[in-house]
This record gives sequence, structure tokens and C-alpha cells, in this order.
Amino acid sequence: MVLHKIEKEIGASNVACIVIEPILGEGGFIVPCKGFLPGLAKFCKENGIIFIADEVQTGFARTGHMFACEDESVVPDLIVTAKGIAAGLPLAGVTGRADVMDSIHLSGLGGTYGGNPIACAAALGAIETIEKDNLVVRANKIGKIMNDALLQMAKKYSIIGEVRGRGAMQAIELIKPGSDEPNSDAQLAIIKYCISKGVLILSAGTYANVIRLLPPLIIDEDLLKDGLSVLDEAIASVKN
Amino acid sequence: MYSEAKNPIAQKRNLITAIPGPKSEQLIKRRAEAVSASLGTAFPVFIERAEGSIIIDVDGNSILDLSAGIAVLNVGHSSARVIENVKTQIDAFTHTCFMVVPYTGYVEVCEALNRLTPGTHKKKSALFNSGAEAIENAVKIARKFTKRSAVVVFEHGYHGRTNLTMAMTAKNMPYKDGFGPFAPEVYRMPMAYPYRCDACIKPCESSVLSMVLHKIEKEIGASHIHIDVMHALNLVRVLFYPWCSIKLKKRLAPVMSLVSL
Repeated sequence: MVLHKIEKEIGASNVACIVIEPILGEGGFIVPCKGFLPGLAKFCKENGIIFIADEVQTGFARTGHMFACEDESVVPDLIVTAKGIAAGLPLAGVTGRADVMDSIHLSGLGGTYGGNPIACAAALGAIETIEKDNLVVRANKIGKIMNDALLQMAKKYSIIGEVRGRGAMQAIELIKPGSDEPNSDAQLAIIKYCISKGVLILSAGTYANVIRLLPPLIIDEDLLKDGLSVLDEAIASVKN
Repeated sequence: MYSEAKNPIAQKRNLITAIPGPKSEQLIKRRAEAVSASLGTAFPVFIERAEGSIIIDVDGNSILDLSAGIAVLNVGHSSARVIENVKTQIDAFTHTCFMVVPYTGYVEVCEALNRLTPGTHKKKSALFNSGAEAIENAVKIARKFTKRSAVVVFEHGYHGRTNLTMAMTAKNMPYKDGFGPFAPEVYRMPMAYPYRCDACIKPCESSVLSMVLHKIEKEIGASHIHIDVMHALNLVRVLFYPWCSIKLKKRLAPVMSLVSL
């Protein structure tokens, strides 16, 4: 359907690039169906379109792969990174096919601060830590702890419509029981409860009804379980 | 792991005041006088320091951070190698602009990105300040390389808050409302969102829907997907009410990837 729409409404020969987050971040940790990303990548290849993976939120071990595209062996033409790259110092990157990256005229890209030396030093420290401390493995381990706990909660609480994510990027989508209607009141109430107990969790979702968990990958397992038990209490406290 | 050099922070949640505590309350008032009201707050305390997964606020509360600064601190707060590298760099020099006088760190980060990103082909990198700026540059590169202009993005996608990336971001409130006009030549496609049949935007005509659904359920129940079912699914995607039933979606899941493409 998407490919048909691109062809009919835009014309593949007019498309410079398709840009997609391999797992949608702010949108609510939406994991596309298997086959969707490889299908887009194949379409791009066949039509001379640049496939750009926005791995700003999913990159650097977060999803249990160094980059989320690896899950279905998708190789983007360009990959955009930021966030996890430098542990908080402002830095972002565009990486990809040398022929594409070298096609820009001299001084066509750049900026005064881009790739600042302090941010680069931080990035090298963060990348070394991710690799030497095996944070890819760690992301899967803590991801499983979160996923197991969230699935248990989904069994108990009818306001949880879906548990989803990959690796250490896990979320629940909240609904009004007995329907699929988004439940943003529950999201607010859960976050408020967690704040009162000293647990910082984030909201997400187009319909403001997703709770997302993005712990540091080095988190102590007992500490993570403590946080999950607070989340459990928070959901229990929501009046249906 | 995190730094354990001096006064290591116990990796334990511990509240000694209500949230926010009195010192944070004062700072929240001070902030309201000085800082634009446009900026939100996910957690209403002011931080003093942090290590690992624990943030200590100005009132001495230990807060468990399950946000990592929005997936930034994958290595945790105050990660030892990060701090050491930054301190060493600050002592050496803080800025030249890479295009004025280059330095090794930039090249090393590009080498690491080229090595770690998917694919064994020859790769090169360029560095920027933020995700949005990098997305803008990726689009510039793609347009120049292909000599085409259209950019395809997806429902529910988020790519940033600059003018081009606002156009690429799906959600109006809070990211776009009143900030237009937006950059042209950005086209949004339906997203494969297994939990919600998002390609389907119109409330259903229940009679047509129930007829089509009955046919689909019958076919999928028999685990045999015919061409006419695919046709029916496409019809459903046009007619479907956005919040269609969970039960049905679970049954549709095996074929959703086919229709999404």
C-alpha cells in the first residue's frame, strides 16, 4: 500500500529519500511489522532512492543491536545518529555510502560547532564503553527484564493494550478497558505517581497514551526491578 | 561502568522530601521568572549531580532515572571514560572549527561510525550538533546526489523541530502548532503500526465493514490467504475505524506486513 501510494501520488522517480526511524521513538516505540523496513529498502534500491535510517533514538546499543536496522539486516544508504553517541555532549552524525557522502561540493556541508572537539572526546569515551562493556548484550538482558515485567502487568491490568519494543527500549500503550481508545488520563496519572515515588519515566505516543522506558544500559538489575515495581503500583493505582 | 572515583552515589532510590522538595520549589519559581514558559518539565526537581542510573536533586533525594536523558545516557550518568576524555580535551583545546583547523577526535569519531554502522561497504561520515541538524543534512545530501526533491516520511514519525524536520515530524501538538508554513516536498505515508490500523483513517460504515471482516476472519481462520482476501484487506484499510478491535488485529497481524507495503 505504501509503495503503491509513493508510486501513484509522488512518483518514485521524484523521490530523493525515504526517511524512517527503524523503531519510532516519540511516536510511541512503534515496531513496524517484519518485512516493512526490508521492503522499503528494496524499493529504494530499485528506484534510485536514498534510504535514510533515523537512528537518533534507537542507535548505540539501545535496542540490543548496535543499530536497530541490524535486526532485519537492513543496510541503509545513510544513517543518522545523535543522542547515545556522546553521552550528553551535543553531537550528531550522518554516515553512509562513500560515493553519496563525497558527492557534495567542497564546503557544501559543515558549521561552526559541528563535531566540536569536546563532544568528539566524549563520543570516543562513550563508544569505547559501549563496546568494551558489551552494552549490546546488556541492552538485551535488561530489555528482557522489562519486557517480562510489563507482560505480567498487562495480564493484571486491562488498561494496558500492548507491550512492545526491542532491547532496552520498551513501552506500554494505554487504553480504556474494553476498547482500543487511547487512555491519556492513565498516562498522566501513572507518570504523576512515579514522580511522587522518585522514578523518572517518559511519555510518548501520538495519542499521549504510551509510557516508555529508556534506562541507562548499565543499570543495576535490582534497581531496575525496583523501578518496575513502582510502575506496577502506579498502574494499579489508576482508577479504571 | 560509572565513575567510582569520589563519593560514589549509591545506586538506590531514596526520597527524603516530597517531590519537589523545598529547594527545588524555590528554583522552579526562579526558573519561571527567567526561562520561557514554552519549555516543559518531565520531572519537577533540579539536579545537583548524577551517577549511573541515579540523579541526586538539590534537596538530597535519590531519583531513579529510567529516561537516560531520552536515550542519550546509554552508558549511564558520569561514565568514567566519557568524563576522563572530556577533562583531557578541555585541558588541551576547546574549539577551532573543524573546517578551520582539523583535529584527530573528529576523524576518530567518523572512523568509529563508519566501522559500527550496518554494511561492509566503503562509508564516510560528517558530524553536526543535533539529530535535527543531521537529518537536515542527510536530506540535503540525498537531494544533491539524486537531483530529486521529494522526501518520504511516515505517520507518527519524529525527526526534529527545525523547519524542515518539523515538516517531517508527524505530530502537530506540541511540535508544529502555529509554527508553519513548513518546508515543501515532504510526503507522509501510512506507518506499519501493528496495534492500530493506521492506514485506515475513516470511520467505518458498519455494515460494509462487518461483511468484509467476516470474510477475512473466515479466510485467516482457515490459514489460507487468497487474492480476494488481500483485496478485502485493502478495502478494510480504507474503511476501517482507527481504533479497530484488538482481537481482530491479532488475527490480522500475520498479513499486516503484506498490506502495509
